[in-house]
Amino acid sequence: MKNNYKYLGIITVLVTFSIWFTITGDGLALVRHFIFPSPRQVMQAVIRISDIIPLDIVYTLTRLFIGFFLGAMLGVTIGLLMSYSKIIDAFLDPLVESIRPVPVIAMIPFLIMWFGIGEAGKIFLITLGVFAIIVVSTLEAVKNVPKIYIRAAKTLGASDNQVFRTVIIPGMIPGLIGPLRVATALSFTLVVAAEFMGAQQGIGYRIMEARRLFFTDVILLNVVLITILAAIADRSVRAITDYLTRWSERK
Amino acid sequence: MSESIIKVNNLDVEFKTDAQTIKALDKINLDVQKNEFICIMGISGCGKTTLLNAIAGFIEPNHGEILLKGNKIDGPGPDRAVVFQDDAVFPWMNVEDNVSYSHRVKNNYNDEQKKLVDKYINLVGLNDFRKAWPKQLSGGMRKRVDLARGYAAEPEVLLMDEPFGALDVMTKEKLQEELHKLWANNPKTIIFITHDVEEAVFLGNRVVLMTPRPGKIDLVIEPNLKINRDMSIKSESMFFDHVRKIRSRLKEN
Repeated sequence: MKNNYKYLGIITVLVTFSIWFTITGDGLALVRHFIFPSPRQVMQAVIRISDIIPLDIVYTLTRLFIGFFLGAMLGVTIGLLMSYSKIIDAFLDPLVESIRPVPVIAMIPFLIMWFGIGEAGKIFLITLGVFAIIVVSTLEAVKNVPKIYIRAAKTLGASDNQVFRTVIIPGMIPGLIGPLRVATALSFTLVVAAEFMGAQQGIGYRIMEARRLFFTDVILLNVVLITILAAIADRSVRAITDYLTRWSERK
Repeated sequence: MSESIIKVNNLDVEFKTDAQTIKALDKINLDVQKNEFICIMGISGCGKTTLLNAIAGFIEPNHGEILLKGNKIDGPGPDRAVVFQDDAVFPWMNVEDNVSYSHRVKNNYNDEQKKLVDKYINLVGLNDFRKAWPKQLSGGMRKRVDLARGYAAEPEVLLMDEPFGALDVMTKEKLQEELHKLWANNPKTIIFITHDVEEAVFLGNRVVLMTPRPGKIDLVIEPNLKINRDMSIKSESMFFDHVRKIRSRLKEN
């Protein structure tokens, strides 16, 4: 029965597509093409700009990956240091707590002033956003490692360092899966926002450029493109974390 | 002939809450001999787990001291491995890595240690599961991993805090038999906490009965049951006499 229900989704997709086709230019033309393009126009846009799409993807994904990697590494490292040492925690807690609620997009004007419209500012924006999520999640994930494992490790002769390496770190990974996925999704929002603020290449830049020229087909095409990339990235993060937590009951 | 391993001298443990101080243990004196299987039993709240936690080094006594081979206990250590009631098998390590953990943290996991680990994995009957994740095992099998891990650490004394408390009766009795066999064939000092009278009489060669508020030692009996016993001993009058004696004493308090 469950498999049969799956096909219902196809109906939804077909209906949505039909409505899209019907109301736009090639159908009843209820919506004009510079408000919303027709499916045919989007397909034509794919062919028209097919030479620049790959490079845009490379630029966007490179920024995103570097920013995400730095943010996640920094977040996990600082989070672990804070949970390892009460002194470090006392020092950094006010800083982390004050950065965390800042909507990082509000920082864009500063980033432009500091870094211009080069790569550093864009990467910094993503790093900051990812860091804010991961550092707090790491602290929580460490707290959620059941104390009984720590006690057991100690009575089996593990030093504090060994408890950290063999119990805390593996034990916290399940708690980081959700936050890593949230951070991945956020990175896509941030990379597009960063490219809006000025760039020469990238999907966000292409959307802004198309907006100035009223190329709604190119806008929609790039929105679809970034959505597909985000979905692939989410699957990849899940595949990696699923492998790292293959021992866990949740699988 | 016998050698004292653990000596508890005039041990007091108090817990402070906002309003009052609760005396959990009151002048406990206990001498545990080498290779003795001692069961500490009592109703919940009698302080038996507190006593075990003090011996394990998780809590500090307010008065008195605990000596391990003459040295004062100060914090947890591998000379006193603990098997807890709750599942404490590391879920991110397979069976073999769990059992060998105490040797791997000492960085001396050599062939000799590996043989020892193999031996205990075999003794608890998990040879076919040595590469399995704990999540693939039943609750009873995970408990066997925990027992093997404790034994393989070669502690001076093995502390067990109601290790079978969360298991169903069938599994529990099977594990009691296995633990008795393991202990009978591989002598080890074991301090076993339980609230189950039959479990205490079956396993212990000494049963210490504690009474609550404050926790005190009330009665000590030595069942002297035959070695290599199994569950059938529960129908013998000798077994039943001990159980009855403890039960009636529990009712008096």
